[in-house]
Amino acid sequence: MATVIAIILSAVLTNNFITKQTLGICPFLGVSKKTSSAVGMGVAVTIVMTLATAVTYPIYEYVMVPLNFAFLEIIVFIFIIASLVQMLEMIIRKVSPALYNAMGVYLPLITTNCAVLGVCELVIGDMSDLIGGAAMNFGWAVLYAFFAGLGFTLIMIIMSGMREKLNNIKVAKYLNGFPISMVTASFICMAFMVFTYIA
Amino acid sequence: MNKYKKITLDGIFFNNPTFILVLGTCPTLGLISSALSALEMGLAVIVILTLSNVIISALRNLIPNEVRIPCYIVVIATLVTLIRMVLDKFLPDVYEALGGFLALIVVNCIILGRAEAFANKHTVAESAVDGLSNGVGFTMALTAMGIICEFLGKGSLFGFEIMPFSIGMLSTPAGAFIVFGLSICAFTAIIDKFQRGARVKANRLARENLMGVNAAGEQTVEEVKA
Amino acid sequence: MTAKEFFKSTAFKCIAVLLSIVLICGILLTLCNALFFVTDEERTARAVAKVFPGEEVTYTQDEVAAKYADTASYSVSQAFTMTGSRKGQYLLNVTGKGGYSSGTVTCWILIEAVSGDTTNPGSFTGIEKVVVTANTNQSFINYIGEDDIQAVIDKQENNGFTNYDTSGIKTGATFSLGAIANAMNGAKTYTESVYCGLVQPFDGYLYTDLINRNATTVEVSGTDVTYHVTTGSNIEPSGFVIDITVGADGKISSYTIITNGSTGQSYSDLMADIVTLVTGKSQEELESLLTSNDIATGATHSNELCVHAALFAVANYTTALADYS
Repeated sequence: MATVIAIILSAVLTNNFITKQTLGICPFLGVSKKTSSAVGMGVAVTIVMTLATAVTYPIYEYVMVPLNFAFLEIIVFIFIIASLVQMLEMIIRKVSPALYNAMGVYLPLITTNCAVLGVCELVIGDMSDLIGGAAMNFGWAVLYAFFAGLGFTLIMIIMSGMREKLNNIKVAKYLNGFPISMVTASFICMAFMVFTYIA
Repeated sequence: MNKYKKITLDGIFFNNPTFILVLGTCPTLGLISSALSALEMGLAVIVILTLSNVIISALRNLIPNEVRIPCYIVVIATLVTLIRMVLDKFLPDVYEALGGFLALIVVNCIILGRAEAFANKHTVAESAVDGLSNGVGFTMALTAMGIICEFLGKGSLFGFEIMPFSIGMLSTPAGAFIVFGLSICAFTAIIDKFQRGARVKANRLARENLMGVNAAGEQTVEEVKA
Repeated sequence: MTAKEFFKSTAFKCIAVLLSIVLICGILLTLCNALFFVTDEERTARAVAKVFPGEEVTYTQDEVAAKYADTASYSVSQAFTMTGSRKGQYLLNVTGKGGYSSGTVTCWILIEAVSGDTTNPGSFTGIEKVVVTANTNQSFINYIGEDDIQAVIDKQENNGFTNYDTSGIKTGATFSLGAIANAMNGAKTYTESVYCGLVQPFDGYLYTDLINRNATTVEVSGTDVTYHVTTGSNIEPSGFVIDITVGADGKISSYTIITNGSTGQSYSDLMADIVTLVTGKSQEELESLLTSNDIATGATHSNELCVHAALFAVANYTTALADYS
């Protein structure tokens, strides 16, 4: 139970993917103009991160390491993620066109999202610091990926809310666009630095 | 030769991948808290970007359009794995400093972006220059921001302590975001000013040429009249 | 579609090109992996080189003796005998347990000792160097400087290293330094047992992890075994001296705390009524007491030490009766 709490706190608050580990910044800056699209992207990333970890972790741990081709991890992981995204897109389109309209457009963007490859690489490495000293296993890995995705979604929603407000304000010419978004993001990071001390 | 000059200037300044296109943001934000690791990351990207541009450009007639993206990804992933192995073997300190961001070069939009936007349409030599100049642009941007962040955030430069005091916030992601945002702002302002100056100069030259031609024309007309 | 058409189609070309690229890349990487593979020995050599900056050292790696490698307060993961200019020194990679929020501190400990065997035992000279490499959950470990660790090295009480004394080492990371002290004591015990050939007192006894084995004595009269126990340190409290008598039924018949090792009066006041809690208890009852809420009184670490001392006495009743009568 302690490990579960440690993982949740770490993944969502203290070691949040965006504010602490700076992963998944491209969608964070690119798709956070409106809250609705931020939620769609966040949910899509969460699903892909969880599924990707659930597939790559056992393959790495129980196939690649015993058979001595762990050095091919990057190629294997990126292929798994790409095909997973492709498959997910097809399934969603077939099963629920409404869901596809809401979320499907974000799926192709996810293949090159560092948050997904990042979490797959993270859980196979040494991360005892991040999850309260417990030994990594399949369950913790998937749980961590899921909550890291939720943490990502949380920041996306906060950011989109702030950017919607920013639209009503006149910003200096050269600050407009990316610079002002990054300064906004910096304030979110500062706010989240508070959580560093709870773990 | 002018063509190569244009590619180089575009890569380093006018289409700088970090400041103008805002690509590859994750490693940028993650590593600029230390100037040295920012520089190391930049060098790794130069090597991978140049090699991937050369290979993809050499194979551009062989790879069918339908499967080009998977092919590019395989080539890039192979290069990243290679660099990782070499660094782990010969420069373990660099390997440790770059950490997870080394593997994530594979999803760095700059590399796939250059492959897709440039290397598959141009010759090997042009692609090599493009890869090199984009890499240099990325490295310069990262190192410049790294110097700012490290100097203010840790009071040191490339690991050597200079100032006894520091603003710790600037060596965290929050500081990285602010420095990155303000750097983009400053860089676009400078480039804009420069380009406007160049445009004004070009316009003036064109006008003078036109007037010169006109003047000469009128003269000839007058001469003929006379 | 005939086979001939298929071989001329775009689909075939796509598959062929993609497969051949994957194949070439795979083969290339396999070759490079064979060429650039970093073996475990090389990683170890790098780690050791970091302990001795700017110095070429030679050493042989030893098999870790499992019997002394893992206890409740420390674990040894790698052991090296230094040779050449650093002959007579031993390098251990030790993880000290019992740090802040149950975390650990891992460090390299360089030890100087005179080697020996059981017939001609050597001796432990001292600790040369401690290099902290990793930790879990030690949020405040940055407060510990080299001088603090040196202070622990210099301060030996009751034949062991201790991080706590009322006048001395105050870092702001007492628990982390406690884990380091545990690692140092573990390194000492390991070196003495494995390299010096010193048979530790109470070798093979149960529940010795929190007992200072060198300062503890046993007397037997009839079927009564009386222990004069001095405890080790349990993060903050250390050096309890307790007289415990175990009767023929294997239960504690008398239990007297002679010296209270709590870190101050406030903590000794907070302690549970240990004497009542342990008197007349058997080993199983004491084991369940160790995890029960009865000892979570605000001076839990002191209580744990006392219960451990009692457990040590009860669990080894038969062995001690045979050894000391």
